[in-house]
Amino acid sequence: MALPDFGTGLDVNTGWPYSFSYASGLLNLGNNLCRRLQTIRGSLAWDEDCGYNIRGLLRGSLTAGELSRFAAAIGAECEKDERVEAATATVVVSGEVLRVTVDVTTAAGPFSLVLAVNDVTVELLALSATGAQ
Amino acid sequence: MSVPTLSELIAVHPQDYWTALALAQLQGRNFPTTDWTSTSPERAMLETDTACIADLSDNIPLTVQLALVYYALLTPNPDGSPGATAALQFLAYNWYQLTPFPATATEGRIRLYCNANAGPYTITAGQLTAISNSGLLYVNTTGGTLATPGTLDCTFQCQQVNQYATTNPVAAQVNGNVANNTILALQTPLPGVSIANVGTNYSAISETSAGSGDGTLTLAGTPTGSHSVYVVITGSGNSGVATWSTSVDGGGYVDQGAAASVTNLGGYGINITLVDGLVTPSFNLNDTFSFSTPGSWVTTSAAFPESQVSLAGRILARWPSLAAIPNSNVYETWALEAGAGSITRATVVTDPTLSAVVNIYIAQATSSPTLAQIVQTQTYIGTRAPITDLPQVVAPSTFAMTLSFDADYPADRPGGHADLDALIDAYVQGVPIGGTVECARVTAIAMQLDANGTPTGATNISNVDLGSGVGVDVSLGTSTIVEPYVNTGAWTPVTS
Repeated sequence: MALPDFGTGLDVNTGWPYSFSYASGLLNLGNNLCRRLQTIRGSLAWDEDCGYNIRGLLRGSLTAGELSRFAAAIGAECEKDERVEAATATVVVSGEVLRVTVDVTTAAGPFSLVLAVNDVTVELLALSATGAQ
Repeated sequence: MSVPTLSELIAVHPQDYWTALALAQLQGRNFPTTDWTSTSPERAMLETDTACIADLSDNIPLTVQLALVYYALLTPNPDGSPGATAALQFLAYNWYQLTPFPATATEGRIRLYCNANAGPYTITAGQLTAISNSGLLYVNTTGGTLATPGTLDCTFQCQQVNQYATTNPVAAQVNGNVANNTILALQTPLPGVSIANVGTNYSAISETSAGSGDGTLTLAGTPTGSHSVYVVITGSGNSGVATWSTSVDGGGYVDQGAAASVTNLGGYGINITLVDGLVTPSFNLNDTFSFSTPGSWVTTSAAFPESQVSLAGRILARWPSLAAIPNSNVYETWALEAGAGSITRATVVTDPTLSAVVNIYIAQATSSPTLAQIVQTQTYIGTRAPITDLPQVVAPSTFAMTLSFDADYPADRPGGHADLDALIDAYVQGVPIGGTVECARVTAIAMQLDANGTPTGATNISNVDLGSGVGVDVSLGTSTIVEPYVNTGAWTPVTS
């Protein structure tokens, strides 16, 4: 069975590189989800419902309830991408950093996205397929 | 590439249109990017570009509109008349919601006289039709009771309005502003009743104020003959304290001392009283008042349909009228709109002394405005001006002018030279407020050269004098119009 096409785009997930390369497949999808989670909702004139800026979640001590709500919101935001069939997230505080793990289900199978969030950057730590493809 | 249609030129496309157009272009050129979803950086760059394109393209229809307006403005009427062309009227209505002011008919006072053997009569509006010596018809718009014997002043309106010259200039041009005492007959006769369009005893008083005084003059008496009078304040003060001088018919100034009034000035039955206003002193050094006797029977001057230049000016003023703070053009446009064609000249002069005061001078086509027109215009502008401005609608100062020239015309010219005099008079009396009356313009109007340079009016004209010497143009003061005006041009029929 042919794998679904998640498109090809510039390999950019945070910041602007000095040279450009292209990403395709799960990497391109992961980059899109990473950018979506750094976009302030309403800031894109062509899609005002797009975005959930996880950098805004950092504000001192966070309760378990807050972390749970953040996780639900992150999963719902990822599901807005039409290439994502389902997404669930977990958010863990580690010092001054939030560690966000998103398990994404696609037509090409599941994959996991791990992000490290501080008040300056959102770093894509890992992106890996987790099931049969 | 085909030439776009007018509809295509003035169509406004949203940003989505330009984005779709760009995507279609990119997809056909082996561009590596295939992900154009909301979060792709290529999408962000493309949307930025198309947002700029959409913003710029919004101005294209407006640019096309303005270009067509300028083209319509530069394209004259086929018959050469200065009225708004059909093309400009079309654009003005469809794009700027403006319609040209229609011609204004003359209105004025005609006095009814009833002898001791007839009447009394109850006169109703529309009942009477008067006819002038030149064949123009006037219908009464006001009525009242005409006693036995007695007089009754009614307002009459000319039934013909000014039209621009076409192929028959004499018949097409109408000016209901006939001279005093030239409407003497009723087409709807009443036994024992005669009529005359008598002028008022005095014209409106024009004032040039040198300060903030608000004193005025009251005129009384029964003046005899035609005269022009100037009053100059030579020492500030209220009435009875201020010193002043008078000049009659351009003669030397006569000191009136500190008198509050003067009677039978110059032996002409002219009585003048200085009347204080609310400010002290009410009269300031160098305040100048002028008036003439008799005044005109006309209360509303006839005006031609709105000209090409006037309509174009209002079109251009539509944009600044949208701003929170109006500029001079906007105040001038409001002044013209308030009169709906009866006020054809307006100019704005910022007050040199009082900040925020905007002095708006208005005038009819060939005369000063009436008090009613000033009040109407003040009210109209007052409801539109911002609270930061203090608009003051005022009548302009007047400059008496006597035109003289010597002209020859073909003896067999249809209608003689009456149409040429009418055009000359309309030009001189209609010079913009603060404009310049040009001898060369009088010459051109009198001669009416055709496209080959052949005169169709006067065959020769010389010694054009506007009162300052032969060939000397007259520049009016900043807020001044020509009034009163007399045409003493001498015409000689020539047989070829």
